[in-house]
Amino acid sequence: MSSTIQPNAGIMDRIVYDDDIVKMFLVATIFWGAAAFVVGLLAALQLAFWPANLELEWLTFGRIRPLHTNAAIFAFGGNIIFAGIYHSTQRLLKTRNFSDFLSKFHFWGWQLIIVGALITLPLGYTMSKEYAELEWPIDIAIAVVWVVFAVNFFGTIAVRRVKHLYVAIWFYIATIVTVALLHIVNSIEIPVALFKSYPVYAGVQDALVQWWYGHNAVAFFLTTPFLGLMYYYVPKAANRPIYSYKLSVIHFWSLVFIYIWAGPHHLLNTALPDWAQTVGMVFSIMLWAPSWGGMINGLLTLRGAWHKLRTDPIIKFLAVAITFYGMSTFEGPLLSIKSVSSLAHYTDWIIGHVHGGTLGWNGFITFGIIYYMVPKLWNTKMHSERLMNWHFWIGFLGILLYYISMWASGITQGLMWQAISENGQLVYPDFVETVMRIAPLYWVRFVGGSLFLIGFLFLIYNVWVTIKHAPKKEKESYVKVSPLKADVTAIGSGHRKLEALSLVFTVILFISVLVGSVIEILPTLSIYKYLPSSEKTEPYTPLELAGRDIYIKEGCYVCHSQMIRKLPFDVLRYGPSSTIAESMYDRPFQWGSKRTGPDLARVGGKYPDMWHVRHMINPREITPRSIMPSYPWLAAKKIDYHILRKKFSVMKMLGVPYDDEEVANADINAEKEAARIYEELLSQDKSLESVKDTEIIALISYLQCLGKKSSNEGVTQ
Amino acid sequence: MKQVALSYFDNIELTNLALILFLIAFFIVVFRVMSKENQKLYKEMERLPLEDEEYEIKEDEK
Repeated sequence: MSSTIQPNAGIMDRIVYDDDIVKMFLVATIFWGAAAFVVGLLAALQLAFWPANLELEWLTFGRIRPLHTNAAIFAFGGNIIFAGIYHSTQRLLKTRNFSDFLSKFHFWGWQLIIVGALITLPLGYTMSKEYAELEWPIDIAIAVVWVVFAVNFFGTIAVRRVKHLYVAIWFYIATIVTVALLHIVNSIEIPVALFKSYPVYAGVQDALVQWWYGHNAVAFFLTTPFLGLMYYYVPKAANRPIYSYKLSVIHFWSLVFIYIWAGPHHLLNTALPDWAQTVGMVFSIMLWAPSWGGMINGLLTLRGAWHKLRTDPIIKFLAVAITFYGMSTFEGPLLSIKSVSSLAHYTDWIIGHVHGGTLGWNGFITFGIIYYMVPKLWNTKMHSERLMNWHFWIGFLGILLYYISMWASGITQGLMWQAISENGQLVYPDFVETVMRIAPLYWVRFVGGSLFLIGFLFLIYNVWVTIKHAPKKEKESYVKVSPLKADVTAIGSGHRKLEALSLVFTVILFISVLVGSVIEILPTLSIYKYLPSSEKTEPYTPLELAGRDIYIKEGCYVCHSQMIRKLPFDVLRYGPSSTIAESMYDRPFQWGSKRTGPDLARVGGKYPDMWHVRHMINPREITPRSIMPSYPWLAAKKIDYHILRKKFSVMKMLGVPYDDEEVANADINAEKEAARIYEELLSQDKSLESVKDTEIIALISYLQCLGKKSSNEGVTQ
Repeated sequence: MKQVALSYFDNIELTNLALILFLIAFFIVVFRVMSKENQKLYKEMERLPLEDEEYEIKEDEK
């Protein structure tokens, strides 16, 4: 790396990169990675062994699962993206980051947001929209930090010393622009309290906007930035250029054009209008081509260097990561086919699919990049190549156990749900029977996750010792670049022209993602106009709304859907399929994405109130083999009646047909309603005196209204 | 099925517009990528990650 060339020789300028910020993000990646994996492992254990919920409200599965997903995506994934972007962008553009202050602001702002999530999610402050659970103050903080990141990044592009933007930079730009759009549109919400708000979208609109966001969180947070990193770090690690630059350009544009449309594949066979489902399905299948183009481009970069796969652990991590990218992007379109989705949706197959992508693709490419960067940044060698190899094999085995167990679990349970006997009845009418059948696989998943974590501990130890033994006096290096002025004089008013070109690029990109978004979402925003007037839905009563917010707070949606699909076996098990009208006042929607427990869309009136009390306090008392956590605190914590007036006024503002009197008396009406339920319970069991005005009463009120609100249930299917 | 699908949707021209835009964009990209004038540029571009040699700052240069 050292050279005898004089730094100021000729017309060359010299640039010193800001690698401190890269180191900070890198260490944060490792720190939060450990946290995300440990929390994930706890969640996996809770499903295999329910007492691991510990009867602590802030450690139950419903609150831990969002914490795990947020930590894995935004803390572990986010920090490595920023580390990689700051490291590679400076080198690709031959300039120091635009502003050291903005870089630091970005770093500390992002860590503060993570800490905010770490505190609020276990406390039950959640929007209940997957990967967008954080409440409005944190949403605003995310927007601010993201804008700071964008200013810093585009500033760096503006002061670059290289004429053209390498394709990795394109992927970074796509990430920055699209994540901003997704986050802002999906997070439009009206605050009720410091950590409570209601989204402006309701029911099917909320579902479509959320999964437009949710799927593109995968696309533009876990795919495009990592592809950008792939296009930089794979050539670096293999020391050869990317297989085909032409292919990378087509890969890029096809991906950003198609990905934005794919969201509705999360809502197949639901009440979402069929045209939107079909659009989502078709575009998801189209994604096959660009995804595999990218995968092939990444893998073939190793052409002529395949022997390194045997000897170089970094290449091992990168090659397996790209292979997992190929597998996930093969499986994703497959799962987006309506008939496949009817089997796989709501089952562990989806969980396996997601973890193939996150552990295999995002995880392994991150480990490869960490092992590549650490010796470069600290000017040393990795402490132990053997440990790197151990990490690779143990982690790889862990992913395989995870992936295969979830395939087996998902397909088994999906087939059991579908099984209909010759006389037209469900073969397994008891939901818990289908859970018991897959419970052993939850242990296999736990073992797989443990292996992945053990491998990661090797990384932590290896990196720690490497940094500890690195030369104390840090190497300072510079690069030679053409001075800015020379560049400008060489091509007339050139530099401004270059800036303009990157602006044009960004605008085209923005339009391309906007087109898909608008065309897909716009018709749904006016959908309630087209509902048959015969189908009337009653808005929630104050106590039902209070109960609904408790349902959200406890994360019930994590395991229970409220969407009976238009499929015979769903209808047989749960009743007439759900309609658009039924959830038209649902802010946020609660359609769910996983059935670890049964669907609750029509649970109202199915069981008496007393059943729910006993079931909530100890589910095993009702269903001996249930894996649901116990919720004893619901029978102790008091309902917050006072906030109901505020909640009602916000709902009214959002268009729910409450009159002024209902808003003004929301708290009083709720108290009356609660007293009625309480007295009925007390008449059956005198020992229930203590449940007066407790959250369990509100929750029962909500559960008992599910499926009872629409005047015309199931007829419009 | 089709009737149900479209009963909620009165913006058929939007999808046509999207299809046309989509195809035009795709062909522009493919045409540009394959055009001869870009081949030399792409040869340069693909070398970019590999051309970031760094030089150590010597003590006496500081």
